[in-house]
Amino acid sequence: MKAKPYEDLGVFLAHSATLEREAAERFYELAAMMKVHNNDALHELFLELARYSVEHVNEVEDICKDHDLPSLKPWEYQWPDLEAPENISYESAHYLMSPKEALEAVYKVELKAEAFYRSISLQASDEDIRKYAHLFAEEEHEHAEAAKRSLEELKLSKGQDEKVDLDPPFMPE
Amino acid sequence: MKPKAYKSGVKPIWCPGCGHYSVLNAITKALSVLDQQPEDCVLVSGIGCSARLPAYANAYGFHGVHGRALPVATGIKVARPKLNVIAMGGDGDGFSIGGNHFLHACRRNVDIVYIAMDNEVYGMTKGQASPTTPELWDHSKLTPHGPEVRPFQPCSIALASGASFIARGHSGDPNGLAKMIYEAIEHPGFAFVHVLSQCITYCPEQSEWKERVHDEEVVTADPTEAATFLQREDGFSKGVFYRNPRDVWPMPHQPPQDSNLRKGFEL
Repeated sequence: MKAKPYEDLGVFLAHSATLEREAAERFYELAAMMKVHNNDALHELFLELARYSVEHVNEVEDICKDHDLPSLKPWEYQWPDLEAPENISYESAHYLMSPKEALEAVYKVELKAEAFYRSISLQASDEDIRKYAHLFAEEEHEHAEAAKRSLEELKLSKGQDEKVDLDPPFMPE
Repeated sequence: MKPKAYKSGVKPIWCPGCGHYSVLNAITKALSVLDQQPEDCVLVSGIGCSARLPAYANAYGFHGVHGRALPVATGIKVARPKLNVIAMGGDGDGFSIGGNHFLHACRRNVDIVYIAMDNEVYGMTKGQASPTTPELWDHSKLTPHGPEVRPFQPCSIALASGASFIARGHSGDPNGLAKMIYEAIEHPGFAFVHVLSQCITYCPEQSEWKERVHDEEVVTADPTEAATFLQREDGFSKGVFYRNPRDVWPMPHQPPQDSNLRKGFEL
């Protein structure tokens, strides 16, 4: 049985690096799929989020390079759910996804990532784990707040959630 | 190699929300754990949305003919036994036009993996009922009352046909699916991985699969026990159900030596 992220600094950092890396990759994937489906607004939004995520990947990897990280198989990570907490689930995306729905999904995963780090910072006895977990939780909190502010700004503008499907999926038999 | 290194530069054109993105991720994660060199792996597909997957992976790929992923994969494995051969496709490709190949691939037990991405619909041709569509699914105008035919049961049929590894995963759990695919690759013989992979464009109700899927790690080598389980389960069980390694085809045979014919014709 592998150590838990709050018990071992290497295991914790391995989780942090994977959490940030998978979030960046997922945002890039979402940006690419929206581009293919001509949802330009969300393409730009997810691309911007992917770029921010890459900055966080670099930050975490910078910390990781001074530590020995265990090699974990994808199914050995101890996430609270089935995937890393900052990943927007595939099934929550749609080609008609609106900016409001996208920002709500972003807000949700940022809160999940914050909760993940917060829980570790509370459970860890190692000072370094507590320090990094607290730092990352604060960063995720800032991201969640930024998503919330963007959502509030969006509510002030009209017509953001209208959905017009110019090419409905079912064949017109 | 990191999982990302097993992805090609080609961007998928699947719909946002499609489960196949997750299957692609699971395959790349499994290959990464195996530290498989891309040139040692072949991904073979037929026709359909899911059959596009080999183009999105950094490995050898063969985008074949509708329903014929398994015969192509069998040929590659028999000719080049050291290659890791993974066949894949959807429920229409694999269980309708390719249904007969599926039965005989299970029976033959060549050492390949078959990943069936089941979304219960023909997506590429705009949403018609497939062999695994529920009887009363009435979303398509071609079947206004639903197909009114019992859905094909891939895992039960794989068991009855002789598959030696049978598992079911869900696209909502890419890490669990990666483990299942890893185990399927490691299994000597025909390994069948049935994946519930949602198509939210034609079947928006499938976004609820995440709530319906449940873990059911049976892992038996007893076909009777596996059959009983598969007849009772609700189609949303996830796990390895059956694992019973047996002789892999083709069998090794020694060439005949010192036959009378050879002796008679020897110079």
